[in-house]
Amino acid sequence: MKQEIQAAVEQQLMVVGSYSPLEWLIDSGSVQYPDYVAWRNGARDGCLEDLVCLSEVDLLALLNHGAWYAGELGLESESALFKGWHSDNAQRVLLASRNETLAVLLQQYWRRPELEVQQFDLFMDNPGLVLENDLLELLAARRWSEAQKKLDQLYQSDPGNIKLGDFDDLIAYGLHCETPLLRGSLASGLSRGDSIANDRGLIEEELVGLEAEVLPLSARVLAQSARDYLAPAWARLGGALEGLAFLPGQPKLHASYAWQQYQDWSRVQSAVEREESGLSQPVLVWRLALSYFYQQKRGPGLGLLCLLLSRDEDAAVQFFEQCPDSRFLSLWQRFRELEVELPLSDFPGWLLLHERGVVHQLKDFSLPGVGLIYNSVFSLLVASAAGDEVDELACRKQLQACSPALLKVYLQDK
Amino acid sequence: MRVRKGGFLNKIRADLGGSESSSKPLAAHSAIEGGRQRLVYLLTVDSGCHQLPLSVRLFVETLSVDVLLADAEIAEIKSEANIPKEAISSSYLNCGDRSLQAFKLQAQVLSHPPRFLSDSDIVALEALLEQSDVKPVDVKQGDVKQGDVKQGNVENGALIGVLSGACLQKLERTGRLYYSAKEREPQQSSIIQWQPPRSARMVWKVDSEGFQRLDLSLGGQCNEVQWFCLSSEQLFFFDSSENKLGFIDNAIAKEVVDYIKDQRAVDPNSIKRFVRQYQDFLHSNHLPEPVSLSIVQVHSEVILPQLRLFSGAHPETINGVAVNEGACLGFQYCFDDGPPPEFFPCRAQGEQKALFFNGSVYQVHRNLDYEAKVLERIRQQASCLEFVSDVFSEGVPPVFDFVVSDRDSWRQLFAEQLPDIKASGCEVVVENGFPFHFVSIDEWYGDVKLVDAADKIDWFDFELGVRIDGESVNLLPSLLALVRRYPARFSLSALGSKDPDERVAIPLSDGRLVDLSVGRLRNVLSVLVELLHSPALQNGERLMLPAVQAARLAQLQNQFDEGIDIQDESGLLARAVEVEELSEVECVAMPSTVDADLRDYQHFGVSWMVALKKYGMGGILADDMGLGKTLQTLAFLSVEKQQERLTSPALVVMPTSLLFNWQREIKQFTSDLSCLVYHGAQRELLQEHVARHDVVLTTYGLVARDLEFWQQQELSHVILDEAQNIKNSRAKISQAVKRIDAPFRLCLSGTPMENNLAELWSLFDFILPGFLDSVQRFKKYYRDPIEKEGDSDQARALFSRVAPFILRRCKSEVATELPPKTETVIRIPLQEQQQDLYEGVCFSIKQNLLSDLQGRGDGEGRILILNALLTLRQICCDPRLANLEQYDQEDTGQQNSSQQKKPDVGSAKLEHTLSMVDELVAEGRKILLFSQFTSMLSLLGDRLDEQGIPYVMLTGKSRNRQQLVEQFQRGEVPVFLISLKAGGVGLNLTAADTVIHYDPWWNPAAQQQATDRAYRIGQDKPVFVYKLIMEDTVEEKIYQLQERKQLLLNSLNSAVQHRSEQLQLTQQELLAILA
Repeated sequence: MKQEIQAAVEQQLMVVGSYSPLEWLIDSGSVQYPDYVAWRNGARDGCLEDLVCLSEVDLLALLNHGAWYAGELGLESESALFKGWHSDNAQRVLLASRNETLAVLLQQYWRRPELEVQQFDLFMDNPGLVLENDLLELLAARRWSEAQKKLDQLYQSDPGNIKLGDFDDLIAYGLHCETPLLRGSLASGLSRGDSIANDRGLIEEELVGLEAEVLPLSARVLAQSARDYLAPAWARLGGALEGLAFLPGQPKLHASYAWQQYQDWSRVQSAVEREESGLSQPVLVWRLALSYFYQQKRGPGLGLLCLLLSRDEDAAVQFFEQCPDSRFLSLWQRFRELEVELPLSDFPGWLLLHERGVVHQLKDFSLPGVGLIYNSVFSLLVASAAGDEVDELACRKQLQACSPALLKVYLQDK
Repeated sequence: MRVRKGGFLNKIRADLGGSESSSKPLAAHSAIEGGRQRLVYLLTVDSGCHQLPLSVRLFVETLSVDVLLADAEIAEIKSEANIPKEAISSSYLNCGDRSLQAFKLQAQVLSHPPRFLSDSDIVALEALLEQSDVKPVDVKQGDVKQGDVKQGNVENGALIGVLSGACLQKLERTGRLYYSAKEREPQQSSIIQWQPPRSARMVWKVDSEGFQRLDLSLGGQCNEVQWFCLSSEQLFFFDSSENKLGFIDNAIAKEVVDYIKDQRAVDPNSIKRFVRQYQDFLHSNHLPEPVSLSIVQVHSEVILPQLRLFSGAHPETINGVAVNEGACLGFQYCFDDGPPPEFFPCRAQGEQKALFFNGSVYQVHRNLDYEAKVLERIRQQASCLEFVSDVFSEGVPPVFDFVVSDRDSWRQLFAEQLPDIKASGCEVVVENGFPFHFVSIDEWYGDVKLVDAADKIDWFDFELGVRIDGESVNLLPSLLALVRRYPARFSLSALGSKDPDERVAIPLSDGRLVDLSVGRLRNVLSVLVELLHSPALQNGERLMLPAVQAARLAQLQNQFDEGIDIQDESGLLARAVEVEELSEVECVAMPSTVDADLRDYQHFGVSWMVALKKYGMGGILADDMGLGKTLQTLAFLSVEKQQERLTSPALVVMPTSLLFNWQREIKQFTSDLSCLVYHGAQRELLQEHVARHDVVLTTYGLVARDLEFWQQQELSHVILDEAQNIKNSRAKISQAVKRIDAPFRLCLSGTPMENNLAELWSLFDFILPGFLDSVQRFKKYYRDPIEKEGDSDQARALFSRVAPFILRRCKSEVATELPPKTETVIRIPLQEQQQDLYEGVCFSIKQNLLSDLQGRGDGEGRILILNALLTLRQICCDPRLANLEQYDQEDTGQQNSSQQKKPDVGSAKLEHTLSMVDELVAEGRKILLFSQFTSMLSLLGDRLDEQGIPYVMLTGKSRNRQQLVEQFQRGEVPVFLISLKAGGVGLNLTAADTVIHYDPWWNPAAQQQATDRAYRIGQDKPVFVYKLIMEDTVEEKIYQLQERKQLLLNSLNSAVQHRSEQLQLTQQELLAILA
């Protein structure tokens, strides 16, 4: 995990120029983003630490390590309190942790020291900067009407501010996302087929607009807060896409995509599982695998990667590079660099042989069409774990028949 | 190129109505909360110079809603008056109350434009960005890199460069391109309109010395102010008199353009030679020839010397010292016929000079001998002036003929030497902007007038100024400007720390300097405190004040030992002088009807009130508690009666608890004053009797309810006792008493201000409405500076304003007049519920005692009676002390049992005591508070904790007795709560100066002994003893009994003084208490 957090620091630094432990917790699935949103909105009691699926000791050790590493990289830390987002709990400071040290670590964010950072001064004689920062907070908290008022003040105090138009756009889009995306095309007299086509058209237009214009704008203006700002937009799209069938030609026009962007992994899982032929679509298998990884269900996640490989090797090779599981990535790397090269189709079996611990997690997990090699290795490992020598011998024979190289690996490691 | 065209976000903004772009007229503003904004373009050019590039500055104009309304009204008015629309828009920027803020042009802005950019703006800004040679104006030419503008490296939004005609056209199409002759005056700008192309013709222009230069002129519509842009790809003109911009449509050869740009001049003496030399050039380009001019030789008969004092454009370095100001001598040559007078500086080279006039060139010849003689005379007359040729050694000739070493020398020059120079026939001219133009004051003057405005009745306005050479110059605007600009330097404390004889120069609006001493300036400012913070003078000239502040006129007059000529038609000054002298009030003889020996300070208090009344002013008597405010007030009313000024009743408003004391004191000290207590449920029946009484007493609680009656009633005085009750100006009671009219208003309060200055304001709003201005202005000028910023100047200024109307004496101040010990008995009525409870229990006790005493011995009976009395005494102190279980509902006649009611019943004595302690602590008193009931002390302690008043408590259980005593003696706590038993022996508490006996003790000697804890040998302060007695209760009877015992004690010799049996109460005496 320590390696992972170091990688996360570097990754965040590259993408947004700063490192936030909270971001890491969400990105790694240690905190589920919907839980986090509920907490910020006051819909969930307790402190931030309660949302983390790690023990306090582990969390403390990891965050300390992240802080140490960020310090080693020459980053400087600042602290920001968590305040409520909803109008009912706006401005209320939310408790990060009952453990003071942990609270400090959770509230920290780290960024590169800048020589000429615009300074808040004691005399508040830079009202433009103060307003701008307030605006950024309000945008991340999705409090549009207050943001609009703040922007009006910024217009008055600093009309030369280069970001005025950016803010206008962001607020306008925020308000836009509060209107329903689909306005009942069926009711407007369209046939069901036309209605669905019409809905798809509307959703696609929204999705393209969001990805082409809003995403880069929010990333530029809001940096790490962009995810919070965009969450309602993705939720709106996700909601609109629920029920729309997956079309291979439009892979993004599926609820699982929007929920993936929202980082609501349980909804990603449901959206894929609801799709009748979901496991036959590589991209859906990949999304489902991600949802398992982020929900800390590593075994099924690995199983699905194996299934993905059996569905579409080319797609699998591309997706594997993006896998959030660092151990998998490392194994995948090793497999590709084996002195005696194995065919790609052997990878599921090879993976199981190196991840024997997950076999018991996969016993009841169905992976239709995952392939002979996977099944052979899986059966062999199950028989071996059960100490059933007869069965094991039969399985060995089966594996010998389809991949002698893997049986060799099995025997070497045994 | 517009990035946003058809964009997703653009569409969203348009759907939400956020876009101001396509559907709005060109000059429309974008809305923001509280106002509107738009972009304006300001074109600046150095008119007449063809080669300087143009400068365009971009501003965001913000208009408040109010201004917009005003504009709409203006537009309507102009429309009705048939004024063309152009005239409205062209005066648009001159409307004044709008803000312009620089706008930086950066390419990024165009992809996400702010609301105030319309489509036409985007087009114009794109055109500006595309002009590669447009540069930021505030960066040195050499530093400018290509693309700086696009990257946003522009500091103040100004762009400079050779704008193409096409670009200018786009700017003009926004409808918001303005022209300003000067770069720094965006407000003085006018809108520019694009015109059809015009033809220009070639002309030779003659300068003032007869030299001719080739130039362009707009044929047939030649205006004086016009320029031509000769540097862009297409020539265009700008007619700045009409703000018209357009292309020049005739082709002009490049060599002609270059010739014009070179600004080559033809000498009047060599015109023929020039024509010969440039014949081909002129003919091939169809250019006219320069005209031949006649040359006339002239000599002047009248030469007027003139000494000019001025500031140079740049500092001169003379002998290593930078000099900015100096003087030049010159001579005005006047001619009977020929050119107008011509001026020659004495250093001008050459004996003659050419002047072009009426088509001829005049050669003027100078009289250098005469000029030299005048120069020599001036050098002798003005020793302060240092002739530059004496100090100047080498290099470029200096701008000045004379320089002066320092500021004081300038002061001396103006005061002592320039008058002689003027007398010898030399004109002295001081140019605008010359910073050392000192003027001497002939005399100070003031001008007082009553304000003639319906909403300012009883206001006056005031001008303070100086006379200079017979001219009256109002100094107030200059003083205000100075104080505002240098608040720290001209604060009263800063001025006070300087040598009063030090000089300070007050700049007048025309740049002249009035020379004042620091002492004089401080004295003036200390009186006219408004100048330190006032937002504006009336009409920019006069200070307007309510008439009640006329005392300041007298204060001001006192500042001028040499006198000041004050014009005062209103008579306010005379009155102010009298009010000013209130502190020297005439001693009033006490009428024989006052049955008290007033101490000197009390006598003064009465005289002060009489004086206040005489001048129609109110006041606040704020003596410490116990110094006799009530007595002084009654004596004052007696004087009023004797002087036959008490023609209608004096209304005294007070807390209910004081009604009895006032009644008693009126009866005791002023037998001539008839008194009516206007109180109780049946008080309406008393209304017809009110007018027949001298003094009418009522309470704060009732006065608001009876307001209508009191407003109709003719009253001679309204007096508020414990006037801190109206400290909250918004409270109903405060507002009610302020609406009761009477010629004289007086406040009595030992603590006129407890928490903040707003309380003082409220009291003054009662005694002298308007004296401290409105509550908002008072907050701005006094409260905030004093309370938030700790401005001691303002505190002093406020004190000096209110001082004549507040009379406050502390006990320590009048200590010599006070007896060593002053005893006061304070009678307090029971609260309504407390009264019900008391009467119920009393009834029950009497019933029970009648049966219980039968057949019991004297001693046993005594105990029963004492127990019963104990319960009643406890109810007097605080019902929570008493055990009321035995007195049930039936006995007490209460609806609920006494025990059940107890928690709801408050204690009037407790509340009164806490209010007293609060006030005494505020006065700085050190208090010993005795009670026989330790539980009472605990209750008091709890409430003191709530009020944040530190205390120590000593009871029989206290083990750290010495430590507590030392704490009190060292002044660490102002209050010492002591149970009588604990306090009776061995304490030496000489730090105390106030003793409160919360409850009367049976034994006056024991109580006396407690008092002596504070009042004993070694005590150096007068001691005040307060005995708190609940009216019409056992306490009052115990007190009367005590008095009788005391008399007995006093009659006994010392040997038997302390024999307890002499002091023991008999059963009969005890029963009498219950009767």
